[in-house]
Amino acid sequence: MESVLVAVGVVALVGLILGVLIGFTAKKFAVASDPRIEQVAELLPGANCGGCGYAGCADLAKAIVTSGADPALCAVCSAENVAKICAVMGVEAGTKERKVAVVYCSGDRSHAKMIAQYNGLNDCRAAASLHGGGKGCRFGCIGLGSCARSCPFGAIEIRNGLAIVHPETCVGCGKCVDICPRKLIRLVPAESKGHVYCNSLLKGPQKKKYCSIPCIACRKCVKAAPEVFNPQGFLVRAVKPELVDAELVKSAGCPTGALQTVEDHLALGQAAGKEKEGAA
Amino acid sequence: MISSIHPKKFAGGIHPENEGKELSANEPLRVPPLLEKYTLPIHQNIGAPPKLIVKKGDEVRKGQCIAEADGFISVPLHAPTSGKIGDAVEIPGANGVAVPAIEILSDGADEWGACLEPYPDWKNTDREKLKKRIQEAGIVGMGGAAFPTHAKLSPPPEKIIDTLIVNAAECEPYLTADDRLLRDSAEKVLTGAAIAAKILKISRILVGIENNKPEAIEALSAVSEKFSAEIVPLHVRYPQGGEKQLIYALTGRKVVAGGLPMDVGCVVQNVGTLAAICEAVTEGHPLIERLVTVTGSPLVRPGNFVLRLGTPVGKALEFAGGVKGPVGKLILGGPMMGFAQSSLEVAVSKNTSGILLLAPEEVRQFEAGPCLSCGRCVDACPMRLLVSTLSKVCENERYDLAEENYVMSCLECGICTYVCPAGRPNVQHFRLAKAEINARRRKK
Repeated sequence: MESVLVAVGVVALVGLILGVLIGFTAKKFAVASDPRIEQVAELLPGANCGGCGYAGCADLAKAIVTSGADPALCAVCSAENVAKICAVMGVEAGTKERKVAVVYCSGDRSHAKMIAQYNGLNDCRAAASLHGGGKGCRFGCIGLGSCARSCPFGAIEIRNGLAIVHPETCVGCGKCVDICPRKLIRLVPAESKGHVYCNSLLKGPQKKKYCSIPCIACRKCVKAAPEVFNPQGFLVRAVKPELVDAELVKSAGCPTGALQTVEDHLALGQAAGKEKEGAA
Repeated sequence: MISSIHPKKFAGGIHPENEGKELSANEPLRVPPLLEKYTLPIHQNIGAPPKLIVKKGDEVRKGQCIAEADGFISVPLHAPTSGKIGDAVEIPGANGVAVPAIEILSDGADEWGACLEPYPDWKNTDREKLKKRIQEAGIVGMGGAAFPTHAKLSPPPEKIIDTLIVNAAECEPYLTADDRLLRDSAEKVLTGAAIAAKILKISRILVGIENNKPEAIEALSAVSEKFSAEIVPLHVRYPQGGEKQLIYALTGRKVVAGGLPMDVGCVVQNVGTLAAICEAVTEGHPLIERLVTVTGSPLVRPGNFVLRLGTPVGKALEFAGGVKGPVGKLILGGPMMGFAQSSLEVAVSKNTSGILLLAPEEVRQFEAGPCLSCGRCVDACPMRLLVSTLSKVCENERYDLAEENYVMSCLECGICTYVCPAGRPNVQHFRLAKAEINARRRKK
């Protein structure tokens, strides 16, 4: 009985001594951490996409608090949360424009001509240095889905050999912009209603050799709405894409169909795909 | 003379089942007629592209410089024939990606212009002068790498070079251009070797040649005494002509990962390059044509041709009698390292060693499957890389791990893809990994 009491006593004593020691060291060697880092990190989306350029959301939170990174740097963060972060940091909340990615190409398998049978690595970057994956056009979408795999939010779909961005899911983090070897993905304001879906800098007839839906720079759209469209060489770009509505597309009368509204572009190839499914 | 060196066997490697060399090796060399138009790709060397100094409509003579070297790692480009400069165009390069090119419309006279001054007495010519000549003549490694030769012949002073290795291995199946060159003009090649040896201030010349070319070995040994070159017949094993493999076979020296042949005192030159050096120095002719093997079972008369740079591949196939049967694949280069083509507009350039047509039954198309971890690629890799691991880490885009596993040492010989039972595109994985790693290094 006595030995048990001794053991209990010893353990209790050791526990007491260690407890005091831990308490002392915790006070003495405490690292002051800013409580705001945790608050900011909680307000960030936590997807760790890396679109801001930092290693993840926790890293960005630290950067916002300690080194004064822009609180609105996170493209994914809602305006509401950005305002909250600004409140935590005690700075004025600026207005944040939401951006989405757009793939400037409509050359899916039914429109773009294949010149080679590509049977290699399923990666656009690899294919770009080997016959461009088989499509004749060397400016357009290769369609092997490097961007879709890099998207942390699953906003890019590869349909019929063409990358299509779903604007409602896209948060504009810009990962696809970096990975695309053809550099044909760009970030545009989320209010955009339509674009000229072409990226080829060749002359019209040369484009037509490889694609049935290119911008041939006929400038009909420029004549219809000179403030919206801007011709750059043999390619026209919608510089005010938020004004390109269905009505304007109709009145511009694009002869090839490269000018489309966002909705039309999203529906591209869907009908063909459904037919195939039905047949199968 | 045949050397007494007993060649070492490098690790890995394969012996492709169908060598296909008999198709073209015994045909005499043919010089095709002049074409009306040549399309000359401008950037034919590793390093900086040369700068064009002519414009459309200019009259040029054969051998006239039309683009000047831009820096040390760069070489000029010369007109393949006399005529007029045509349009600046874009044609597909060897890997199918468009490259800028310039058209030369032949006037049919094929007259040499003001040539470089020949140095028949090169033995008593200044080394720097000879080196400058090699650059002026636009000479690059003609085995396939297209690295400017004068740069290879300028090792930094702290590197002590003792051996010049003449690469006559020609281990790629189907290709016989080097074989043909040695049979016909072994003396020219060895003269080029002697010039290179003089520039490097060395006297030891080793010629590595696979023993499946007895005629070439005979032709070499007939003239080798004069140049005190040692000829070493090697086992037939792909990639015997890989720079590092060849150095090991001949000297037993191993180049460490990331190292260069000059680290172990060797400089390796391809026979085609040496012949071009000889012509540039003794005759003053720049590099405007090269030997190309045009071969394959669907061709009527395969053989070796002296093709001007800028000859479209389609024309080269015509010279070989055209096609007699269905074609499965057109490859620029050899079947192991060459690139499949999608266009007949691709032009012969300084590093085009062969144009190969394969019949449909000789081509396999397959879907890449998951790695079986069978280890055949590891056994066969001549660089002793852990290919199966590398292939998987590259597939998962872990290029940091790929770098740790020495992906940068990969010589892209294609063996791992050749032996893979799952049909995995290993070489393409590694090419992408190398490009990504290089891009990251440049960013840092």
